[in-house]
Amino acid sequence: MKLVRTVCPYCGVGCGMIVKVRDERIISVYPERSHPSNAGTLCIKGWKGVRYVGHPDRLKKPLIRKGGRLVEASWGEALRTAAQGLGNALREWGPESIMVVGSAKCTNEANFLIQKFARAVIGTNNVDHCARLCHAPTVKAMFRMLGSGAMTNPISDIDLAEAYFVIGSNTTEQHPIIGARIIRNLDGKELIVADPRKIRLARLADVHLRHRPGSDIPLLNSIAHVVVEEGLVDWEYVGRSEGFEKLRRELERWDPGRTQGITGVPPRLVEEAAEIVAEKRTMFFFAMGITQHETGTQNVAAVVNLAVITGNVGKPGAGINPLRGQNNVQGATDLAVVPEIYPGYATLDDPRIGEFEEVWGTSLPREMGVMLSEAFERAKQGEIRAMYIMGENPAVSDPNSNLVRMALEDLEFLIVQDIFPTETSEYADVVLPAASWAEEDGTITSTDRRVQRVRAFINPPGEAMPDWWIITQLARTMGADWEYNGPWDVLSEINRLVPQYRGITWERLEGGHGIHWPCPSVDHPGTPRLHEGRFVRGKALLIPPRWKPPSAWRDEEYPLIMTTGRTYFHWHTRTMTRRVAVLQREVPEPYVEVSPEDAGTYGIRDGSRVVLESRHGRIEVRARVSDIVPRGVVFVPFHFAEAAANALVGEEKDPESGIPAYKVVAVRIGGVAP
Amino acid sequence: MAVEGVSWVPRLTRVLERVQHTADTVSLKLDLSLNHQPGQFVQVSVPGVGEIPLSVASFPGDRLMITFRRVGRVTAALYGLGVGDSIGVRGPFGRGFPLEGGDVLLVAGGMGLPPIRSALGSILRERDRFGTVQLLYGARRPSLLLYREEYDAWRRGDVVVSLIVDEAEDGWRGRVGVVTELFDELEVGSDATVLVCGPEIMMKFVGRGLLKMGFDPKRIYMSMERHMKCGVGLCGHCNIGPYYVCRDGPVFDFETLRNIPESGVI
Amino acid sequence: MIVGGRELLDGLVKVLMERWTVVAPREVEGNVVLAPLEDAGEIVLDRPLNSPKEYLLPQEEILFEYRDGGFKAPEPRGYAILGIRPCEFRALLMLKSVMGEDPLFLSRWNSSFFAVQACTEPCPSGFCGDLGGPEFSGIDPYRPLGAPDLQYYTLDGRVFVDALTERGKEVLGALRDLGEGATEEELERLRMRISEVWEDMKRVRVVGIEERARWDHPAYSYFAERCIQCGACNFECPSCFCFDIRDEDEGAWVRVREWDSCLLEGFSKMALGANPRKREEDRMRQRILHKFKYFKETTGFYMCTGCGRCLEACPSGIDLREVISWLWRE
Ligand SMILES: Cc1cc2nc3c(=O)[nH]c(=O)nc-3n(C[C@H](O)[C@H](O)[C@H](O)COP(=O)(O)OP(=O)(O)OC[C@H]3O[C@@H](n4cnc5c(N)ncnc54)[C@H](O)[C@@H]3O)c2cc1C
Ligand code: SF4
Ligand code: SF4
Ligand code: FES
Repeated sequence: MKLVRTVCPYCGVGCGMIVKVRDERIISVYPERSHPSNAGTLCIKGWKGVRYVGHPDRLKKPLIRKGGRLVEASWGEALRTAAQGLGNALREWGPESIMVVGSAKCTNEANFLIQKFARAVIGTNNVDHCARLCHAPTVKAMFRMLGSGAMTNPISDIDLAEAYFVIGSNTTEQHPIIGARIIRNLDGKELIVADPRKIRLARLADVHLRHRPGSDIPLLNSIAHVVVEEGLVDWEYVGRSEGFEKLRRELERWDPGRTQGITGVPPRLVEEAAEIVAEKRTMFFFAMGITQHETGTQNVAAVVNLAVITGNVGKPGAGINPLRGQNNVQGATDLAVVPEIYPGYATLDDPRIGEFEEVWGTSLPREMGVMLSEAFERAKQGEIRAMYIMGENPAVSDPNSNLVRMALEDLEFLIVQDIFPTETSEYADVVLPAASWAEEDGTITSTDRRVQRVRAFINPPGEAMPDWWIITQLARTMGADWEYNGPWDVLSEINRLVPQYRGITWERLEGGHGIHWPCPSVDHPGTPRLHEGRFVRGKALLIPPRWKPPSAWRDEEYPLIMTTGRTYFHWHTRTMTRRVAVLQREVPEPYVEVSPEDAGTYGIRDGSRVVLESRHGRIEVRARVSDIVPRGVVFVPFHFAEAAANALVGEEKDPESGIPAYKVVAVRIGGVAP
Repeated sequence: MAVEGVSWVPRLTRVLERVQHTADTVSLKLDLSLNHQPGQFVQVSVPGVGEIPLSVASFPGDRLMITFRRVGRVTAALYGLGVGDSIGVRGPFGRGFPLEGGDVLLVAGGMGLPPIRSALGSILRERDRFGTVQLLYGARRPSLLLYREEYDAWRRGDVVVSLIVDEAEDGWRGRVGVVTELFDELEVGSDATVLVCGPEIMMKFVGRGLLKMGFDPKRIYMSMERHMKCGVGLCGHCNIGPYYVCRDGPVFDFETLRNIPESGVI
Repeated sequence: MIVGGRELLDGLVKVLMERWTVVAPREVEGNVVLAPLEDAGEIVLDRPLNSPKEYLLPQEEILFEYRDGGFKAPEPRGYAILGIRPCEFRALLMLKSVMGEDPLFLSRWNSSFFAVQACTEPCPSGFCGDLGGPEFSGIDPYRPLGAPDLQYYTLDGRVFVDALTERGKEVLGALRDLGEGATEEELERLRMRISEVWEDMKRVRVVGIEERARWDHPAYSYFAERCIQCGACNFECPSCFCFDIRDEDEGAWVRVREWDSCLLEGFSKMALGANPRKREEDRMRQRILHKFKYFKETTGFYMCTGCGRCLEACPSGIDLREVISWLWRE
């Protein structure tokens, strides 16, 4: 019997948990009482969801494709085959023909190595992960405006706030313990929720701004307009920023009376919201609901503007908090599993890259690489010939999944490294069985920049191996002289190369509850709150957000707006959660949420089977008639391969960050069966 | 409290016969004889897939027969079984229908017929203990009426069989409508014992109609359906009000159900 | 009753370790967890973060395995469970009144040894005042259903151990050398402390609440709106017994049961989607009525003994004491 303290493998909240293990089986799970983020609580995924690790479907042996079929192979053979495949692509078409995909589910160490593999072994910046599909706009906008793209406050600050402004985040479903922590604080505090859907927090809100999908900027600007017009601006903060005059001029045209035509929100509510955020210590929260738009980056900018001019940054209980989805999406971004930066947010023209070259002993690419959201298009055009995908399942999770499948089909060579067989691994030439969260030591970075230890407590099934080991071996097979004896060696390289992580050493993470980056030295306590006293950037930069109506807006042919998202009980493409009986029972099949009004119009009953069509695809799903969605809007969770909501999403993207516009897709009901 | 001497281990037996009734409904006859009370159910396992409650459709003492519709995971697996496949059984469990003599009215809707069939079997064996016996049975379409080949035998055993369907199909010369419309054909007296099994909404209207006609709510017995897991009063899934459907039911008298807001039949 | 220092407690653990795996509160990196001890000295006096339920009804357990043509049903052994509170022991009695027919539960129950730690400090979330109070006394309302083998108290650095069953007396006998008899004065101080704590725990009244728990009370929807459906209140409750059953197919046929929660939609959902408790408020009502009305009506006891674990584990801060007060008010 062992009792092991670790961190929940699901979302970015990073709840502390203790697991009791006997005979390689999880016997019990306990929420950690002393953890500052979850303080003795867990959501259902924490309680129930971790038992996927023992599922018989786990990949147990390396597989290689022989005669069209995936057959078991030894590690040696699999690594050789993988190295050969990549080597061929490298020789024939050069480094730019290879795409490497990391994973926000994997540890910092695995992610650091995978990007190092792309840059130092292959020689390309073609490396990305699913943050592209979530928070690339956040990083883009916040980095530019504030000097850092991450949550500014620790989760425990929720208790210190006087008000909450939640936009584009169904917090109780996606970041349940954060959502619940807001709920437990509601007595005497104010909650503003901006969301087209009547989500749980919206039902509990003092002010629910039910704006039309795609009208976030008009809404946020109209609130900022009131702040300026009513003289509610925090001049001290304006003094700490630049660009206010330009912003003020832009805001002039967004008076709430006029914007109502675009947003559908009555001016009275806009004014109420403005007064609350101006007067109360407010924590802003947002998530994919504002980033997954063609104007994703500008949406985030609009939030930042509002927070800065109301003085709601860099204080206990006030700040800008993008909620990161996966347990380690923050870490994967910090460690640059993205094509446009090097670890620690070194831009491609940053002299710090020289340091990487020195330590890694090779010259490194400085051209922008291919983003995940373009990778499959490029693959179809024959520019990308080989891919190495670790811990992701783009065949379901990517926008336009039909195109992705065709592209995967077209690849010359595909390596998939995962814990379960997935829709993506069906296309692989080599499948590498990885250790799961329960079997791999390492660190992860939770949404509030808290770098925490996760611990191995059972042995991987069969011959599965930790990600850091697999990447290292593959690099060595390809001739690199990598020497890592364990994830601690990788972390110490991170300590050396990534200023924000400099003082976050393996030893320090052993006890306690992690350290918030930036942590510049081993005797630095870490930085729970960013921008205190001074913005990381020096002065905050205010940017007048540019708005354009969504191009996939509804029209006569496609009169409904589909928005997509997650549900509480499932995780991404369900590779984990569908193997957990209780979670699967709760949401066993795909569905579409339809408002009672639209249900009436189309003759849809609760439980009817409905065909949903967009310009890009069609799916068939069961209807849930529910007043959560407003008339004219339908919601589809994206978890299900058999009705991949993403098959309906088109190619519209945010030009600044490359994020696909998952949140606004014009669709129609193409048929109803009882 | 719970059933004495609970055992989780099912008896393993084999499928002897498989009868396809409709596109999604079959009966399986198993190599196992049960002495049960009509209205009781068994917990049926498909090894490695799961376990579900199914009414005993066979007559007491006969080889166990179950009749089910393919609606989900376990029923789909059951549906896929053929002759000779193994299958697990626990039970019989619960309280069945009281069969004390006098006039008996049996009312069934759709998939509610299996336990009523079992009750008919008991009645037919001791037919002279009972007065007028009448079955009212409704289904969505004529082709969905279960056990069609047996109606003649029931009629020969002096059971009045009245049928009705929601939608007629070619060749249907019977009545079209809901089961309560058959009340105008009633031949039993209002002191009859009534056994009902079918969708909740149907049972609700049957209860209402019979009360209006002066039937005694204590003598109207309805078979309830709830999500079940253990079948023996432990897992809590089938709880309604102070009762467990698996242990205190599935058959309850209407008087009891009328006092439970959650029963769905009021 | 014998009184001694900390050695007495360690001695008790040592004696029990000869015959049982001893489960007691112990420290895990800044947390106190009720878990098997490896060493007698590990036992601490703080209230652990988890309830004792899992040692009789585990979070997940195998009901049977079928391999090589035969069934294998486990015959689990119980533990010596120390440091659980009177409220939790009473809750286990409630659990037994339901699960007493279950072969696995029974096998554990019959081979378990219970040593209860009486509460000499008021606890921040409990409300046992109406439900037996901070010690398991000879006239405890739950006494007819069973008693813990031992009960220990701690006061001013001293440990008082008392036996309530024959088996308990036997164990206590083996500890004679580690302590002495309690003086009248010591006992008096202990009694005083217990009655102070008891007074403190009486702020929430429970007796009679079944009369107030109306079917259509507005409290259910108010609290349901705040519930994020984590299941923790059920999981952490030492008397909640509901479980789910599933099959696994790992080369062998394995049937497993695991804790379930009536607040989840799927708990009562039937094939093709029909659900008698579709709305969240229906499920919150079920949780409250099952504990405070249905169970009371059928057994004479509430299925809640006021331990407060549900409100400690609730992420949304749903406080059962508040629910009860609201039922009283309206
Ligand atoms: C007393 C009783 C007698 C029944 N008799 C019959 C019968 O004779 N013929 C027939 O076709 N059906 C009968 N049913 C319904 C049958 O049990 C369900 O159709 C079946 O459980 C669905 O299981 P599934 O795994 O296919 O569906 P899923 O939707 O996959 O259900 C998953 C699980 O939920 C539970 N569950 C779901 N629906 C029900 C339900 N309606 N009742 C109980 N548990 C449920 C079961 O534990 C099931 O394994 C009876 C139900 C009860 C309670
Ligand atoms: S809130 Fe997130 S981290 Fe916490 S238990 Fe739930 S899924 Fe895990
Ligand atoms: S602990 Fe709270 S949030 Fe979780 S199920 Fe219970 S009431 Fe709901
Ligand atoms: S089915 Fe388990 S209690 Fe009734």
